[in-house]
Amino acid sequence: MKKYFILLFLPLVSCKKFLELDPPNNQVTTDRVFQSDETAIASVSGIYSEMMATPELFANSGVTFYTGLYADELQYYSPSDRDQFTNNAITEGAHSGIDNNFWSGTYKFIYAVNLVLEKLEHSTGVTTLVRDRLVAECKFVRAFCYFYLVNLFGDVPLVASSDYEVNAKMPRTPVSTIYQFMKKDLSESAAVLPSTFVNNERVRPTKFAALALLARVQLYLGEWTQADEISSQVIASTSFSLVMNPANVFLKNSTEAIWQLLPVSSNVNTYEGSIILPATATTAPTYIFPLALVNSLEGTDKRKAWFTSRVYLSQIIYYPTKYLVKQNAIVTEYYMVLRLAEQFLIRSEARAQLDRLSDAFSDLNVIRSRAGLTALSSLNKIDLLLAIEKERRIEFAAEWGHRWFDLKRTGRAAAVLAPIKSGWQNTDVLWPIPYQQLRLNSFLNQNDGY
Amino acid sequence: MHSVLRTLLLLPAFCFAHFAMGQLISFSVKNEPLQKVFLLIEQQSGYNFIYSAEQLAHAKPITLAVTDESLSSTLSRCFSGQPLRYAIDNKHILVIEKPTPPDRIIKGQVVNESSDPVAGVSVSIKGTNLVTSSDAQGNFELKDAPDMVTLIVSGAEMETVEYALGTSTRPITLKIERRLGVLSETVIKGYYETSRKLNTGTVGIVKSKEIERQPVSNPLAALQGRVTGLFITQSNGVSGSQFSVLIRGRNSLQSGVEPLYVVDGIIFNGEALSQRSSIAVNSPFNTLVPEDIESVQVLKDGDATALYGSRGGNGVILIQTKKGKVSKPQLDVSFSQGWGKVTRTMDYLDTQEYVAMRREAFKNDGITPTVANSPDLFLWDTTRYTNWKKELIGGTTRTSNVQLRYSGGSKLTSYSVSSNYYRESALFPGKFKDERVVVAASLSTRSENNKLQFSLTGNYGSETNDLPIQDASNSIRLQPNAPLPFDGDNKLVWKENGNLFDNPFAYILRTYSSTQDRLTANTWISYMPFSGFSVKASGGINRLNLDETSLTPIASQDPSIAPTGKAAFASNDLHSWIVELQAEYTTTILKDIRIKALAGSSWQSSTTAGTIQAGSGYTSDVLLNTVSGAATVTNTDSYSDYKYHGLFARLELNRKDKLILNLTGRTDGSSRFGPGNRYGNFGAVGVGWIFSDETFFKKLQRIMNFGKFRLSYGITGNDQIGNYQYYDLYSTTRNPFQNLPALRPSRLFNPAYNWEQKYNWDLGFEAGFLKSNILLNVTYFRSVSGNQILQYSLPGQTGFPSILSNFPGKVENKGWEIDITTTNIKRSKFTWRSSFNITIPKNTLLAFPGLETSSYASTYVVGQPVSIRKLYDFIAIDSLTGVYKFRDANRDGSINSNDRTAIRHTLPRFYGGFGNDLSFGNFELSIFFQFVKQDGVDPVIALFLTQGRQQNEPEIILDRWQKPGDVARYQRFSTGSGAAFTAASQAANSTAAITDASYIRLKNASLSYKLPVTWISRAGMRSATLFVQGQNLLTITDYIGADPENQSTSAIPPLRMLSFGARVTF
Repeated sequence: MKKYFILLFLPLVSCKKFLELDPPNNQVTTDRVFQSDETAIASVSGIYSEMMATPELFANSGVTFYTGLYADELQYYSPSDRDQFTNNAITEGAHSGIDNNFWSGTYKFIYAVNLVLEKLEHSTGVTTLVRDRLVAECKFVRAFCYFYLVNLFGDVPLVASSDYEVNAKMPRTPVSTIYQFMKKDLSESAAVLPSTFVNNERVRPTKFAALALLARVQLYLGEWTQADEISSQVIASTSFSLVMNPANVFLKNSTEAIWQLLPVSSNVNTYEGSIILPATATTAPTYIFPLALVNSLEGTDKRKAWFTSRVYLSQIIYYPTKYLVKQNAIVTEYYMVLRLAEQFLIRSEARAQLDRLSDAFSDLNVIRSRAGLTALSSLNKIDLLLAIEKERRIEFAAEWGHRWFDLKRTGRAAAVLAPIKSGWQNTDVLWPIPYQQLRLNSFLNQNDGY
Repeated sequence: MHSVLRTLLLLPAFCFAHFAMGQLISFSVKNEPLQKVFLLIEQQSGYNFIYSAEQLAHAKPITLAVTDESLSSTLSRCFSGQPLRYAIDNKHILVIEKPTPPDRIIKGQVVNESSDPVAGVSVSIKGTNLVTSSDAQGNFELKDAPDMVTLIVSGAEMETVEYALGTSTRPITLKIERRLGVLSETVIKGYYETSRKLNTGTVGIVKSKEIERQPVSNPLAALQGRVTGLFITQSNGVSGSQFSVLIRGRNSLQSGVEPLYVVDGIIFNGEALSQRSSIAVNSPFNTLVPEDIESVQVLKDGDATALYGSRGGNGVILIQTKKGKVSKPQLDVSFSQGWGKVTRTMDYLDTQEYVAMRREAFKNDGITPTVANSPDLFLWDTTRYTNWKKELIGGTTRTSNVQLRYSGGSKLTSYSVSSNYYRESALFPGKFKDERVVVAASLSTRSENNKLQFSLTGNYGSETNDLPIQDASNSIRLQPNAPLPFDGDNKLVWKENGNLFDNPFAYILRTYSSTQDRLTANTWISYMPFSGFSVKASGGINRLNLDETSLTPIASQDPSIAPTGKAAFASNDLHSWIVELQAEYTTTILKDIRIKALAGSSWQSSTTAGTIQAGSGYTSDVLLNTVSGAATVTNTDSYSDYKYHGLFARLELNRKDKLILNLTGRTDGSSRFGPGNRYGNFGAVGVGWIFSDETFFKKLQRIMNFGKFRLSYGITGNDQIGNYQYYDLYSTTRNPFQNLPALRPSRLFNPAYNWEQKYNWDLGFEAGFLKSNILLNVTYFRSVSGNQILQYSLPGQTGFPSILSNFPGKVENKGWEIDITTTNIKRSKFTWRSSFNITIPKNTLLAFPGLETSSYASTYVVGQPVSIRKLYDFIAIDSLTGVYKFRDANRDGSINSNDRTAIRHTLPRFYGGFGNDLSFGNFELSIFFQFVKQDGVDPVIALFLTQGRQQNEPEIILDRWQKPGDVARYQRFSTGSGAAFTAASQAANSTAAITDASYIRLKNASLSYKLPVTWISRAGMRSATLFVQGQNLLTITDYIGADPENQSTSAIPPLRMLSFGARVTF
């Protein structure tokens, strides 16, 4: 029967052609992307762009908000399911949010980076200069993603290729292995990336971004000597200087910025500003500071500019104002990821750990003096480390989860949080692996306590 | 005349002569001239023939043997067939030339009770062998008719009738009454037609008459409850809203389940092109006029759908628009005016009840109300009451509909042009409306010798729908003591005493308007080189464009936040064409087996391209309508291409209209699949046996005049998976990066997926009893869809949520479909007909290998329908604490997602409709009910929230737990924390959220009165009818929520419409 048709309608062969489609006009096949410098660059720009496109992603206010609640740094003004984070009592109801913003939402970028790295390896259409720079940027971004994954979840699968069939079955890799992987990525990245910005636009990572993150990694690993050394390289760079008025630190391309993310959503500068700031002069902000944190500020601290108060329904509440633009089509603020002040505090802590107390004081006092506070001296090592912790808490208040990660890495989470959070358990230092993911990949196992 | 006179003159002599003919005659001749025979007769009888040589010039040679016959008998045998007659005068036989036949032609038309032409009826002249049959327009013509004529009209499905025509020569109209009228109705099965009687497949038909009497703007609305196996729901009562259409259940786990729509032979895009709408409006069907529709055919089984191959798997809906008929030109004008209100809503608490609820919630939670936690109680007037339901959706829509149609046709050419204007105002406050203009034209013509036929159909519809940006139902739950929306200066109020107010009228100032234009045009030409063989080429285009504008003016925003305006302009354009070639051959083999063969090829291409420009930062509302007034503009575009090619063939073997075998097959190629997987084969076999026409059944025909078994098996497919799925692609990010484009990976490389396939079995029994006064149609169907294409979820660590792949999952749909129509009373002044249909479907997931370890473990259960929900098993409200309690299924001491083991679904268990049509003199009354047996969601529990928050609740929540020992439907009030909050969020996913949502709805009632011809003929009218029509008039249900059909608290239910109008034919 079928043969009969074919005789009747001979042009079946040409019909096969009829069914062949070009890719859609607004999309490009992957192979085409890596045939020219412009599109290859666009594939990496897209990573930064996507990081800023959706609020509450790990790279876009998510870490700040949810670890802020989870530690003793932020509260959410009205009751909501975010209270699970405030109470360190994450239930399954919050898992899909954790998945979207912190797990799958982060691995999405790791996939994008791995894909670019693989494609660039075989690409012939991209010039060496561009290729090397993009490879280095991608390695930086990969380390940046893994940094937050391991600090939120502990062991996570170490995905380093774009092959979904392999990746889908990966079990969790120990944190220490991932840290080694990150250090390698960051060192290789720092070796290749340029040290200057183009047009002072601080939105593409440079050598110093890689070094700054590497310094942080080493601080977290307790590799004090290397942390001291690397942070010193960043501090020594003439590209960066502290902004004397704290109110101006978070402006776009501020001299303190080592790496900022470029806002891409219309009418929004940073999502932190957009989400936190109250809509009108008389409405409530969303995220607010706990009074204990506000009360720990010393009287003359110029950083009070970051803690703005308002009377709402006859209560005084404080909310973060590092970013001041709620909505504006004109962009004056970029989203600060890495900044110089952290490098001073990293070096201060590393040196204190290395028992170079006076060097440690001098770095700490750089930050205190910018805040208009008196210099500290003559504390013993333990008190100095506590002073650095407190300084970090204020300097990085509502900024990238520094407070939560500090409490964890110093082992002080239980000591600080147990007294103020009734539901605290020592297993709370890690978030749960989203149960959706456990179902999808039977090689994953859950963290203790969930 | 002359001959008649002569006959009369000769008559007495003729009578007299009779007596003289006593002699007997015998002879035998073979092929002899007539003269020779005359001689023989003269010799034996003694009579003389009187004739001239010229008279016999046209006489035929004669072969005759007579033995002892009388003269008169012998003569009559001799003259039989000769152009002569004779008269006997004394002993003379006068030979008289017969007058030249007057060439009498009898012309006429065969029509049925409703004056529609009937084809294929045999018309013969009694006492002759003159016979013909009526053509497609019902016309017939008989030549060489004798002087006195009695016509015998007969056909397979009618009583044989005789018409005494006498000597009249005027064209006549023969009105016949079909014994099985319905059975000879045309059934269109896409590329070919058959009749209901001979159909081997399962096809549901809705005719224009049923559609016309429903005051609806969307033709899909008119099909609800009328066809077995077709389940249609309206999610929203807003004019222009979309309908969900499902034929015989969900076949696919994830791919599209919409049927294929074909309008006048062109694939019709039924999906809205909307890119911005927050209310699901812009159904492309809204640009089709229900009154323009001649018939809708719903193809359901494999036999009927296999010719559509890969796209037939979800069923096919064929819509035929009205064409011109052979008739005098006529102008039909109809106009109507209607009103609509929401059908069924819930009542909400008044302020007193609301305040009491809030206080009780605080008391239950052990919280003291303060200005901070309950500004609504402290800062707002707790005695003020606004019934937001009434304010926001309590309005009335007004509809106007005007339809003009001019049509007619001669034997060779027929035409029809029509235009329609429809307007419906929205029932929200403000000046919103939906307006539609449609023009349609059709022309068909054929050559004198019937060899060439040509047809052109064009249909252009344009609809503009102005609406608020969101359904005002969204604001019904505002606190009843909220401020009045406008202040003394008629300005929007944003807060009162420092407490913000989410003013619903702000959303009404934000507008959404859309303009939808659709052009559908189709031509075909067919040529019949010799009888029985014809070729046909057809081509059509379908263009659909949707422009959308959503505006957020500064005036609609709280001035204290120094707002700027926002606007979005979206345009989406669908362009598709189709070209088809086909050849058909009809012949007869082995004496009585009629063969119809068809083969064809189809090419289709469809391109969709869309853009969205979103502007923000407008500093003035005046500039809001232009994108150039925006401070920043974001552009998005989308594009997709779809190509399709099919080869199809059909072979029908028909033995004496009793046994029919129908084979169909199709090879399809679709661009949606990767290279190597593009082609798939589909096909079906259908058998029909009309056993009532077999001789052994003759005796029973008095009771059961028609009986048929049909059986079909077919394989169809589904390619509704979206385009380009096999490409690995990067697409641009929404916003550029540093003014340069940025790209993100948008799809994994994946060439390895293939067609979904559906195997259909159908077994049908059709019968007509008591001269078809009772018609019964029972169908059992079963289909299994395999090779399911799933977005197979990937672990997040792969960077992609899912990948498309085939899965050996199997979905079964089976069930019974029963249709009964009866003619209860039939008198000349009074008729009463009834109809009833019911569908009992069952959907089952037959197999899903590896389900337990897949990402679908919580979604599907083998042996259960595919749209189940796994739920917490609700036990009761804890009589001590007053919160919902659930069964700890795994007994691990806590209630978490592992305890969701109870299985429920909200699929219809059965559905259908029943109606009665009565006509009494000039009045006609039609009443139609639709019914659905199903479960639905409890509107309170499904919300995930506790009752007692700062939002209003339906009055049904008053049935709540208040104190230990209470038994109630709902748990205790709570402002939303603690155990009550957790319980509320679990309850939404529990069996407590499922409740009965069955209903019986008076879908349609219409009454019409036909004005007597004597009243109107002076005004030049041929007919005039006044009518009242109502839709969704009454709903009988135990459903606890608002409307059991859309079960929504944030979308208005389908409207109850009432309309008055008139239909006039000139």
